[in-house]
Amino acid sequence: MEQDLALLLPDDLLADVLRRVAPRDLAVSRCVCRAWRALIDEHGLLRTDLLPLSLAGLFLRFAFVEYHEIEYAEPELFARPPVDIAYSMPTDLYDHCNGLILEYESVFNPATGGRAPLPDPPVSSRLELDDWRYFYFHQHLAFDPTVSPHYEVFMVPYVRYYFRLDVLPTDNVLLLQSEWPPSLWVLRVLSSRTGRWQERSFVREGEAAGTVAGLRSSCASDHAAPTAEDEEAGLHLLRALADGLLGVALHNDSRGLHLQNKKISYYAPPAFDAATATRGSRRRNAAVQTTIDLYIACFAVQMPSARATTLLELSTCAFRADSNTQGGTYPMP
Amino acid sequence: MAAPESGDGNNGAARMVTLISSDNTRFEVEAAAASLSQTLQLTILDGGGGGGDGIPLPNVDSATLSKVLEYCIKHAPAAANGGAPNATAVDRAELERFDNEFVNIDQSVLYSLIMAAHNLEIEGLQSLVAKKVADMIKGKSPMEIRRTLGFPDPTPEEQAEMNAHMLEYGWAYE
Repeated sequence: MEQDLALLLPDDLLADVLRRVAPRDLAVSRCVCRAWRALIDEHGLLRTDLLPLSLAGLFLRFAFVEYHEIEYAEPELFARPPVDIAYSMPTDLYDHCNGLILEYESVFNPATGGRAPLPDPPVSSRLELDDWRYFYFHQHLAFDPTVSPHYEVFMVPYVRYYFRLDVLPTDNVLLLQSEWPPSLWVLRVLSSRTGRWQERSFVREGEAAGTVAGLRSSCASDHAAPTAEDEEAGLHLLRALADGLLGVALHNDSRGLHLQNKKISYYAPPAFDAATATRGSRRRNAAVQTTIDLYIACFAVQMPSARATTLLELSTCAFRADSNTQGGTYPMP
Repeated sequence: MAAPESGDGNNGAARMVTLISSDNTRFEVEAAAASLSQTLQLTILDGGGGGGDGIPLPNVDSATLSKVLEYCIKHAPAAANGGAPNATAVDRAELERFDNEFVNIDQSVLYSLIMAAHNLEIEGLQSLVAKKVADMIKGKSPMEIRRTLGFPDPTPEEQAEMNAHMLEYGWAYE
């Protein structure tokens, strides 16, 4: 008599079983199948407030500058005592937010090993932004499970620069003289709710940082030494995005530091400062004034079984990573 | 047949009752043990199960019933004492050891047991099995839970749904 225990149990008995499951396992159990998910939600079993927040390890990604190019190493796991989470190593760390990691063309949850491929973004209706000779894009991830279970990915354009200005294109005079960021910005945004990219418009609040040409040249000259002002401006950009798009207070006190350390751009427009961004306290961190950033994503794993079943908190820190720290001892926060 | 002066099972002075499984096997057991079942307790208090009558249990087969009764007999003294004064640390440790051993069984038996415990309203047994199943879930990924509990392999749609929900809970709860 081969019985599939879990499938045959009546709801009230299954609920009795799941009631005894610890919150972090219950969160995993929610993924098992539709019936379990419905049951857990229906009975309100998942007490998210009970999920512990503890730190068991860090994901590190070293970056270093070589011949004026930023090179990134593979993400590494740093945990003491060591944990075996081979199944949940990210392949890359493009960006991360509150437990989710943005990889190359996918979003990854190291807690569960879940991975969702990102569809290719469509060609922008603002064709000039797709001119790769002038711009390049970074994808940014926004996710706050206390607000919504859905995440969003933004394609944010940056003005392309190079340490030698003379190799950059100059044919589009109109574009070079235009304000940056533009007063109306159309960004491509992917929402996990729909699974589709859509264009959304953003209105600039405040003055432009300058012109495309001006930013390009100042970036080139500042390349080796970005200022804290530049860095902070980048943060405001993200705050503005996050506030405007998600209504997520990413810059609250507990997370402000995380966000601050998120490297957006050395030369993001300082004037792109939404009114909402001022709600967050402006923090300065000398550590971000560096051309070499070390990305650290913190996560917690379930220690008793030494397995990464649950990711509890994710944060970043940027450290100065001198060449003598690469591959050697990692600075710990 | 236990002597009337036996200290164990003092509830009803070792009165015996007969239970009849779905496959017509008769089990004679002390009323105190059978009374761990809320449903049986009512019948027994009404005077049922004694003599040649027996209490039919059409939902419980003999294999399951013998397992259920093994649990009841072991737990009857502690239940009768209500935890005091005989329930020493040694007794409790012994019961715990018994419980751990008791649920170390096939899933099909676990299933029958929890269903029987549910039908007969044996609270301790139901929680014991439920706890055991909960332990089987502990520390596993969704796929591992499915495999452990004998789910069929997910269809591509189910797999996609699982993946989506695995992302949904990134556990950055505050």
